[in-house]
Amino acid sequence: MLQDKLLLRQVKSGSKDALRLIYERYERDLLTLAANLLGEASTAEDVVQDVFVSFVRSAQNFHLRGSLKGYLLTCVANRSRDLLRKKKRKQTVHIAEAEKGESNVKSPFYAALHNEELQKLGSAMTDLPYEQREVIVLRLHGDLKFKQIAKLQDVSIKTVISRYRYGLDRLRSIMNGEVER
Amino acid sequence: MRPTDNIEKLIQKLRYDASAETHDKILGNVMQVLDEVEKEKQGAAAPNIWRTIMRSKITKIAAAAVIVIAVVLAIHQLGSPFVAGTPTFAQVVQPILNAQTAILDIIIGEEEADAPVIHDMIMGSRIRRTLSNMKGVVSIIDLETGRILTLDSGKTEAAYIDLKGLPSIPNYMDRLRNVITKLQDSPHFVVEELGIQEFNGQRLIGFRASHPRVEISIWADPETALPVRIEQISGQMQVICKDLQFDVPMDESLFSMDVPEGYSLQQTELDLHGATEEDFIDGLRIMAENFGDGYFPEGVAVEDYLRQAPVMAEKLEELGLSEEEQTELGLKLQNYLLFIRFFKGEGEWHYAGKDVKLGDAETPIFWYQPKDSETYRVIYGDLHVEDAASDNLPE
Repeated sequence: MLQDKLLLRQVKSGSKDALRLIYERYERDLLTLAANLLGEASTAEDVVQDVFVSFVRSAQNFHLRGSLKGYLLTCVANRSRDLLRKKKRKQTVHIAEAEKGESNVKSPFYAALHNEELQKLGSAMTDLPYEQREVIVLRLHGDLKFKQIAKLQDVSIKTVISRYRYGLDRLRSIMNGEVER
Repeated sequence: MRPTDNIEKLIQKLRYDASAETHDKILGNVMQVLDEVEKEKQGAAAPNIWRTIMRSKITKIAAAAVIVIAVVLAIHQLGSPFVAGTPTFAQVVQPILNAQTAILDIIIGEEEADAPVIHDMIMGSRIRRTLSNMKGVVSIIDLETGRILTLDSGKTEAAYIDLKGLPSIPNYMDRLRNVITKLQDSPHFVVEELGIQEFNGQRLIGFRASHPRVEISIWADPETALPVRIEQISGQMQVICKDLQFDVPMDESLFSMDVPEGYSLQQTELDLHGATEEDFIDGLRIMAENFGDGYFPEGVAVEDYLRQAPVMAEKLEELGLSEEEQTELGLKLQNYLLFIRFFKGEGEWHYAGKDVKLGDAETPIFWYQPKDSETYRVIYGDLHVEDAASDNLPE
């Protein structure tokens, strides 16, 4: 956290080395989050780039209160959700349906995985309602606390925990062949 | 146990590792944006220095006073080397000697297009001062009572700052005349002609008056012999006075020390000569710990402080200090600056703290000779102080 503050201060002073360190420290987590939320590697890359561009542009007026990682993850999650909403508006279908619709055509991100079991899991992930998937990915890939996710989703912690449990149960069932997709 | 029993671990394997090409592409684009931001900052930062200083709670009153103090004696000091070396030089000095009022612009440091300009109107013992980048803020300095009244018309806020240690000057122009007259016979000043040079399209004739502690150049209209520009280098501080006008009729009400109706009022004191070596050391520690990431500042002169002020104001906000802590820090920084601005030692001070880390017990960062002392005081990077003979000073 202190290290982040120091790096942020250096970025504000125009340090490229500090910006590189921040990017390289969180690149994998942010791309993983975006790819799991969006199901497309190229869109995930665009989102992460946009988040960093915005971060650099607003760094001068930016005051870090929590962790930088948490802040960047939240930005990626928000931007990903906005993107899917825009997509939804274009297609004039419900977001969950749109997501489910996409899952019938395998997500390029998951399809590119070399492990068959992970491909199946990825495919099952795209089958989850977006809110459940978001909770699971933020929790397991972003290490965010349920409290932070609740704030991000603007719901109670109880709701977030329920979404997490329902989501995992559903994935378990799909993976065990107990549920037809 | 089936693999799906630990679904969470399996999900964590759904990771995305970017290729080197993707990594370089995104990072390259982000770096490009940082370059753009830096260019924008360079264009915008300089004119906002004063505004940034004044925005910060901790330095608001202290900075106002210090900014005023930084140049309050500029004209006073200008008087010193005005020795009539040649008839032409004497002619140039004459309007200053005869003037009852004066108007001038002052720049501290280098004269750049976006440098903040201090605009002064002088009448009797009072100076009415405005700053180009602080619209709506006016300071009236009364040199006779040693008091400053700062008025912010935008916020309807007023502040009285009582200056301790400033000699009473009932009439500024009279004082200037006296100083010049007394120093006319001094053997230490040398005057040389600088010839004709062009400033903003105006051809001016120049003279340079030098003294071991001060160097002043004065530029005048060759036709009228009226001085229009004066450049002074004193220690590490450069002050440029330009667009000088003399005996311009001015309304006395412009110099009123009364607080207008409806203004809130604050009051504070500033001891110009009260700063000690301990205050300065305290300030060095604060500068390194809070504003230099553990390293001492590039410089400690007034202009260095003004240059660092915007960054300092930002970092202060990040520190999340309470109002009390901010005030305490502000007062400490004020004394740190005053130690240098009203340096009381013999000769000049020396600073070598740039790139030195706080805690470095081997590297001397500042040394000076206290008044009436035969030895020097040397401050090291860990802020311990040693006495040293002139032969043992750092190179």
